[in-house]
Amino acid sequence: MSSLQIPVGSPADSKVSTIAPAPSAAALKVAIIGNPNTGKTTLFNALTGLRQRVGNFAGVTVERVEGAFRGEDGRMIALLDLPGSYSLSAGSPDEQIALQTLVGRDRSHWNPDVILVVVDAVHLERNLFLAGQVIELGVPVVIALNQFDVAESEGIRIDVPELIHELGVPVVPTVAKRGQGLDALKSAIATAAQLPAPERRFALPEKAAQALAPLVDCLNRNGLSASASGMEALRLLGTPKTEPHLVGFKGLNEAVAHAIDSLIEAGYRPNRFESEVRYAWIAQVIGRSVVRPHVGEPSVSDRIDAIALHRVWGPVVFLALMAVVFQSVFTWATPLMDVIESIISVAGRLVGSILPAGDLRSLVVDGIFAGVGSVLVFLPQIAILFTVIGILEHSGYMSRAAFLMDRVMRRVGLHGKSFIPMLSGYACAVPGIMATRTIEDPKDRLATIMVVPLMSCSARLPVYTLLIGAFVPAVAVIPGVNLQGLTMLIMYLLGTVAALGIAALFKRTLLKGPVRPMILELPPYRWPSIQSLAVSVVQRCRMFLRRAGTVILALSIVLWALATYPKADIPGGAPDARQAELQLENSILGKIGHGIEPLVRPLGYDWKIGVSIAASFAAREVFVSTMGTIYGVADASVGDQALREQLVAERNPVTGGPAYTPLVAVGLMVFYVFALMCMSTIAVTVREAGGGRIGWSWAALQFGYMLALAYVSAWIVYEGGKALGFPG
Amino acid sequence: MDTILVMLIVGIAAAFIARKLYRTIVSARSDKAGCSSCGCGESVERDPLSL
Repeated sequence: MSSLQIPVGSPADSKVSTIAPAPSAAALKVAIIGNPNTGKTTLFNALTGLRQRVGNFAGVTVERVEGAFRGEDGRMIALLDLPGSYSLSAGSPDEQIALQTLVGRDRSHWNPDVILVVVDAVHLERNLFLAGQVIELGVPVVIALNQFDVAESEGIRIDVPELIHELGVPVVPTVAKRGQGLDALKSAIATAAQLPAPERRFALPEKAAQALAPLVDCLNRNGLSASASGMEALRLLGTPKTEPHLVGFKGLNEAVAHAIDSLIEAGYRPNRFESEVRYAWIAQVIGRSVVRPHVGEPSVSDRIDAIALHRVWGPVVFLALMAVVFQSVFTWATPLMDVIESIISVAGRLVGSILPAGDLRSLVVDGIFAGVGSVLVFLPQIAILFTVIGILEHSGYMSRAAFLMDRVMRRVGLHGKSFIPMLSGYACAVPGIMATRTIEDPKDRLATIMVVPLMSCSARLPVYTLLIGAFVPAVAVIPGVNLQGLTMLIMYLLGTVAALGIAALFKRTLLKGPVRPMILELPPYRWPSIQSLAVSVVQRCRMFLRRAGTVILALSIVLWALATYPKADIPGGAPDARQAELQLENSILGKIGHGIEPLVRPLGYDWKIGVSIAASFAAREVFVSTMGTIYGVADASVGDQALREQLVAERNPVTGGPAYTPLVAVGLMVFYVFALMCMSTIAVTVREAGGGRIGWSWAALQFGYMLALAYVSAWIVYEGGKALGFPG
Repeated sequence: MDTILVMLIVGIAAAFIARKLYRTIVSARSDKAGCSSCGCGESVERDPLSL
C-alpha cells in the first residue's frame, strides 16, 4: 500500500504547520456533514475515539451524535455527526435534522463554529453539490477528501492545491478507516475557525441574479447573512416550502412566488435552476482539478456485481450466504459454548460449596447462576453472527441485498429505503425503527415502523438456539449446511416474509399511498476494516453482557423468589426431587403458571413455558433465563446439566412421555418470531409514530396484531403438525 | 440473617425492574430518548434511559 501524501492547506496558506492558540478556552463546535456512505461516522470515530456504528451503506446515522477530542493546542473540539444528506433540500426527517443544525436553528442551539464536509474522493461531482451549498452558509468550512486511497487506486488524480483554490476552503485528503490524514485535518479545523467564512464561488447569470435579488433581500432582512440568503434563495426555488428555521420570515412566501415568476419570465426553469447552476460550476471545478483514467476494463466491483446482482444468480447467492451465516452460528459456536457452560457450572458448584445450605445458596446457585448462566452461554453465537453480518455490511454486499430486495419491496408497496431499517431490525428493532427517519413519506415510514419488529432480532437468538439445539437433529441437508442451520434460516425468513406481507396489508388499507422509486447507491466492494468490525462486535457483546448483568440478573432474582415462596408444607420422607417439584407447584410462580396454563395449553405448552413467556414480555431472552431458574429450583440435583438437556429429559407427569416434543419447540419458535415482547420497542414505536395518543394507538395496534399472529401461527403449527402425525 | 439478606437482594432487584419499566414508559414521551436501554449495542449515545 502506497503511503498517502497529505497536501494540507487553506486558501490563504497551503501549508499549515503551526496553529495559533485559540483565543477562547471554550470548546470549538464542529458539525460533520456529507453525502451518505462517505465515511463520516468512521471519521467521527477516528477523531473522537468513540464507537458509533458504521456500515458500508447509506442511512446508518439517523440522529445527531456528539463526541469530542482535544486539539493540538489543548482546546476541546466538540464534534457533531449529522445524518448523511445529498443536499440541503431537507426532504426527509434526517435531512431536516442536518439542515436545522447547520443553520444554527435546532432546538439545542448547537451553532457550529466550523462545518466539516466529508466528501468521497471517488465521487467528487455528486459530493460537491452539498459542499457548494454548505460553503455558502456563512460558517468556516473544512473539506475532508475521504477515501483518497480508493480514488488513487482507481487512477483518479486529484490536484488538491488546485481544488483548494477552486473551492476557497481548506481541503484535506483522508483515509478515515486507517486514520490517515487525521492530524492534518485537526490542524485544518483549528485554523479554519480563525479564517473568514467562505462565500459562493460562482456568479449567477445577470438576469437570474436580478430575478432573485428581492428574495435574497427578503431573507437578508429577516436575519440571514448575505451569503446564507443567497444559498436559501436558490434552495427555495426547488423546494418552496417553509422549513422550521424560516418560519416567521416576513414576506417570504410572496418573495419566493415573485422570484419563481421572474425566473420563468427570464427563460429559466425555477425547479431545476439550482441544479443547473451548481452542476455547471462543479463541472468547471472538476475539469481544473481532477484527471480521470480512460474507462476500459470493468472494475472488480463490476465483475462481482455481474453475479451478485444477476436476475437469477443474485437471489441464489443471497440465500446461500444467509444459509452459511446461520450455519456458522451452530458450527463455530458450539465448542466455545461448551467452554462457557463448563466455567459457569464449575463457578456455580464452587460458590455452592462455600455457602451454607439455605435460601441464600439457593438464590445464588438456582436463581442467579442457573438464570443468568443459561443466557450467558449464547455469547459466542452473538459474536459469530454479528461478525459474519458485519463482514457483509462492511464489504458493501448489503447494498446489493437492498437492490435485490427493492423489486420485492415495491411489489408489497414499500419504499426501497425501508430495507435498511428492516436490515437493522435483525440486530435490534429499536435502531431499526429509528432508521425509518430516512423515509420521506409518513405513510411509508409508519408502515415500516409497524413491521420492523417482525425481523428476528438478536434477543430471539438465545430462544431459537436453545430450542433448535435441544430438539432439531444436526443431520446434513446439503454439504456444509445441516438441519439446525436450515431451521434457523427458516425462522429468519419467516419473520421477513411476514413483515413484507403485513406491510402490503397496511399499504393497501390503513396506510394507502403511491409507491415511490428508490435511488440506491452501490458502493464499491471494500475489504472490511478489521478495527471497525472488531469495534462493532465487541460493542454488541458488551451490551449483551450488560443486559445479562442488569435486566436479566434482576428478573432472575425476582423469578427465583416467586418460585421459592411461600414455603409449602411438604411432608417429610419424599425424595428431594419430589419435594422440590411440590415446592415449585405451590409457589407464587407455580400458581401464576397454572393460572396461565389454560391460555397456552392449546399451543401444547405446559405452565412452565407459559410463565416463561409471560416473564419474557420484558425482554425475549428472559424466556431462557426463566426456564433456567425454574429448572434450577425444581431439581437442584441436575444443576450441572445444560438447560437444553433438561428440556429433552423433562417428562409429562400424566402420560410419562416427553413433555416437550420437536413440534412444541417449532411452535414455540414460531410464536417468538411473531410476538412483540420488548418494552423498549414499544416505547420507541410510541415516540416515532408521533407520540401522545396517536403514538400509543399505533404501538397498541402493533403489539396486538403481532401477539394475535404469534398465537394463531403457533396453534396452526401445533394442531397442523399433530394432524400430519407428528407427536404433540 | 439469611432470610433478611435474601429479601434485601430480592427487593433491590424488584426496585430495579420497576425503575426500568418506569423509565421506558417515560421515554416514550420524551424526544430525547434513544437506543441505549435496549442493549443491542447499536448506539453509544447517552440518554435518560441509560441504566
